[in-house]
Amino acid sequence: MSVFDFESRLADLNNRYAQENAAQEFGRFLGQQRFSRQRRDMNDQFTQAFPRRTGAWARRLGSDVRSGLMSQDITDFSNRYARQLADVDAEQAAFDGQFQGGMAARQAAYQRSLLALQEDLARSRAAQNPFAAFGGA
Amino acid sequence: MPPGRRPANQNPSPSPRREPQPFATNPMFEGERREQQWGAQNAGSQMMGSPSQDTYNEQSWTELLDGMFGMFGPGSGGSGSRGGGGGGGAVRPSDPDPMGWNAIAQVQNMERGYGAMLEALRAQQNAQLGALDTRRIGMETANAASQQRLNQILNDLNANAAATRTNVQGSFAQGDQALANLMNQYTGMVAQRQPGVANTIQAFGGNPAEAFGDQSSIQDMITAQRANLARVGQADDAFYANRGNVYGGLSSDVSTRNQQVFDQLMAQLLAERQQTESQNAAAQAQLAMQQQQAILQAQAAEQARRAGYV
Repeated sequence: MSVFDFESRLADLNNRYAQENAAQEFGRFLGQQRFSRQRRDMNDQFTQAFPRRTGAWARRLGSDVRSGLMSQDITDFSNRYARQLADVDAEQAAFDGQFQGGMAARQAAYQRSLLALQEDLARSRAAQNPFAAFGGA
Repeated sequence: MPPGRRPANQNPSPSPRREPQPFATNPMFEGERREQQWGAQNAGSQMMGSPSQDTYNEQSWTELLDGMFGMFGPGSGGSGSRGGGGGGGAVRPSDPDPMGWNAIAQVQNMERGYGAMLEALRAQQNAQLGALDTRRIGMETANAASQQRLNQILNDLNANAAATRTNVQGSFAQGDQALANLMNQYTGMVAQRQPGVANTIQAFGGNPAEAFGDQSSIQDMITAQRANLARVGQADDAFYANRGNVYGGLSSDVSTRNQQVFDQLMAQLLAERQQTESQNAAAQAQLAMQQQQAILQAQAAEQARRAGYV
């Protein structure tokens, strides 16, 4: 491999690495946008639904009256909201963890490809016949 | 040398100092005067013709020659003392070069000529040997430069591998740190949200513990990701740590191959040099033999020439 080929392949490697990183970063950005929007929607739904649910219980039982059914209903309702938020958190954590692990793996793969390229060039240089000018085969 | 000419190395010794006399009457120039006269009379004729036809003041040219060199040859009697003319074959002329100066000069010229030829031959042969020496020096220089270059390549490879190893370790450490930060971020986010939800549930008489599900699953997942990353990192690290051995093997192979080519070329060069030296010695011997033969021929010719004279 000539130095020219090395430079060309190095440029290709750098381009691919940069494009892949950009695509992954963009995917991460879109994922974070999606998770943020999902949380905001869930929060809006909860903040709108919770007063309506407690109001319905108040109209049914009276404003100062608490029953076991009402407590269970409010607890279940809040738990569902909390669990849905926790699910979104876990999903985002897995997504981010995947991104971080992938980024480390991509960097390592890039470094390995770069070293392989350097090794190819070094092998080509070492394989050159130093006695070609003297008729050495 | 024409028989009518006097050899340069046989000039008579100079006469004692006398008063200058006119050319026409000076006896010192008698020979020259008569020679000019003879030349004017025989202008256009062949000087080396038959002795019986060439005359010089009524003498044959052999008689004249005999007279001119008579002082050096046996039986000399001075100019014109053997006059009589007529039959050239009847009397053997005296040797105009009794000491063999011409032959000696001829041999000396021959030796000078062969000496020059030998010098030229040696110069040519030295140039050939010099070219072979230049080739040998060039090959030795190339061999040393090749080894140095190989060492440089090996050093570059090891440096690259060490740098890559450091970079990869950094990448995995960075990834591990990012996962640890992620876990902290997630834990903090849950911890920040928990009190509000718990208060709300408790306000309505519920149990807040049910609201947060299984928190450990997220932590386990991230911990597993970190462990996986660490395993990959260790494998990569071992890969890069072993590159030095791989490079050492490569360098050894290349070095061995180069040395083999170098040895082969040096053996070839040595054979060429031996062949050239042998050819050179043969050429010098041939030249010496030719010189010897030429000298022998010249000596034989001189003996033959002397045999024709008294």
